[in-house]
Amino acid sequence: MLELDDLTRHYGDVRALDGLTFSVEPGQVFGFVGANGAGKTTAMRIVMGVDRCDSGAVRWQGQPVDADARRQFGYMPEERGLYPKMPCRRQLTYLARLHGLSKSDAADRATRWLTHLGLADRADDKLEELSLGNQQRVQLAAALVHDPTLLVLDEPFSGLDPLGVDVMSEILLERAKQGVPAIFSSHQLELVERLCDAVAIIDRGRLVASGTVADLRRREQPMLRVDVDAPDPHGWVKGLPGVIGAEPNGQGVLIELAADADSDALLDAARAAGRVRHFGFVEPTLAQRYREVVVGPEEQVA
Amino acid sequence: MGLLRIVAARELTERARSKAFLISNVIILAAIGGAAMLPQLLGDPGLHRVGITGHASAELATVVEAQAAGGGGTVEVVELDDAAAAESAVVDGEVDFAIVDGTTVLTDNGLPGSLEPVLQLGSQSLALEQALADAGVPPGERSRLLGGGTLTVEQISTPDTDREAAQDALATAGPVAYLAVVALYGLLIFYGQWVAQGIVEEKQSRVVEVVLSTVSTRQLLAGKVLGIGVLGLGQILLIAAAGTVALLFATEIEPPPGMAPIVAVVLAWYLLGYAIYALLFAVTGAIVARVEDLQSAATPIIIVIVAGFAAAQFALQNPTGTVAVVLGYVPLTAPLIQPIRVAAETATGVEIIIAAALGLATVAGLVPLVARLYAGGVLRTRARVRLRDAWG
Repeated sequence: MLELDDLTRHYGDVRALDGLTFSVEPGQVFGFVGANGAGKTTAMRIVMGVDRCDSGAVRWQGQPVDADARRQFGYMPEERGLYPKMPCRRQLTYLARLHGLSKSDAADRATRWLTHLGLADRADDKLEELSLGNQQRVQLAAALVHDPTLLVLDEPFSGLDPLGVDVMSEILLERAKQGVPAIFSSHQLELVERLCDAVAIIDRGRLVASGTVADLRRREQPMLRVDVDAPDPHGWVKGLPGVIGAEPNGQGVLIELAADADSDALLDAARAAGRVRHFGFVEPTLAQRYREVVVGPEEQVA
Repeated sequence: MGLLRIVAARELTERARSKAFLISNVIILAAIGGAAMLPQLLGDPGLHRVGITGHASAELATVVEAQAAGGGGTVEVVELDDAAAAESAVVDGEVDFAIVDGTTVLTDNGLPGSLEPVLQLGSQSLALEQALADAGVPPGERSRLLGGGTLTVEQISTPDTDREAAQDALATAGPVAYLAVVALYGLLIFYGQWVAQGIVEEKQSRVVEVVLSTVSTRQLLAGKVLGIGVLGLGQILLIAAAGTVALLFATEIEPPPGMAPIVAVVLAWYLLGYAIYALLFAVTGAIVARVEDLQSAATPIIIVIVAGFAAAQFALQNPTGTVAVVLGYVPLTAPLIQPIRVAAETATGVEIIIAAALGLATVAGLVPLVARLYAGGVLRTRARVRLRDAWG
């Protein structure tokens, strides 16, 4: 388990992290979401030891994370980079050795990952001779070549073509199945929703929401969508007990209910109004939820 | 230590494979080979072959011989039958010039150096002697009049024996010391800049963040400096080996007796000089964001090395002068001056130890400073970092 405990980090007057706390469970695919400048990259760099925190702690398996633990992690920084003039296999072997593998193991793994990613025939070409898409694959291989115990990937999907997105997703899920957690940041919320077991949303260096995707999507006040064939598809809702708000939604109406409202009574009222074509609770998408927690409820009204 | 070795090994092998390294080796070997072959191609400049015809010429030839001996050269006198034979010998290059009947000098390239006035004087005194003989002056009187001059030369200042001894030593060891300093000068600039360039390339390609997630900034910096330094050491050993082979087999120049100490001193000062300058160059690499900007950032360091090289040339002329003595202690210039002081046999043991200790102290002092500046600058990849910010 990876724990970030009350991390703070200032750059001059800028507060990049402001008491950030969350944890990643074994085998979890963990999405890290927030606006640009919210502190995602800073948090990941602190986990990887590339940046330091002013206060707080990062723990791995209950122990403060140190260089030996980090050497087992796999990292893909936001700004990609490998040695442009070094052949792919040689640089993957080099990086694997820095991660602690023996010379022969390192060479084996490098070859295996290049083959796995369809780059076997380019293994001895210089990185700069590869297409951008293939360079991204080598970058992914660089994060995976030593069989990491944890993956820390900063925007791993940015710049990938749809096939690349599929390859990356498969690898994340497959690693997770073997118990290797992955934390990755992304602005593609549909992707996060589809891949992740858990999500942390941060804003201005603070955690504003976290939990499983299902938890995040569940609201304190449930929302119903009801479509009724009636001359007035919205009017029947007015004055019913437990209804906090209602707004037209195409042919039907979206109803915000009090937590203790009786939905059966509402269904009866709908039937009385006309033929009910749709009656169901609506869960917000992660994107909607994100806008709520990051923008703030009062601004949302305005 | 394991990680440091892996980093150093990559620096070494990737650069050893580079075209720049290959080409530099070819150039060095070609230069040493060329320098060794040159005297043979040009012939021995100290040897004059003089053709003579007639008795009067033989007397003039003795004047030439005396003059050449003063300059350390030798003269081979070839007797020729007549003027026609002399002419063809000059044209064919069998002799450098020919004296015909003591009155004419035949040459195709002009007379070497100061020979013409000597020959003129010689022929004048021969003519005078002839005139005196014709006037009936007895031979003893003639040689008294013409031979010993009446001028006495007195040296009134005490000779600078230290300087003379140093220059005597440099007369034999000088060329070796000079070549060694040229090599040191080139290597310090070449390998020092390679360190800076390697750092910027890692910043510019952003790979540095991947690498620094596995090793510390100190390990990465130390590995880079060591790996490139070992490669440079390999090259200086190659130069020393090729130079020794060239001296022993390709030329007729005897290696100076102090050769081994000179090579040892050069190697030691390469290591110290490289350590100092590699660390300084590392700072420029850490604060610059693009390889294109490196040249301007490194200019102050390069100026210091060039100034040190100029001082070394000066020291070669005057190895006991104040400039040579003082700059021989200054750690930034000592690597280029000390080999000359040692070759001139003027550096005392105490001086060598103090200079080396100052150099080592400089390295020891630079390591924490440079490590801090490097750590502060190496991850700021977007723009040039001010030194103060890198320090902070």
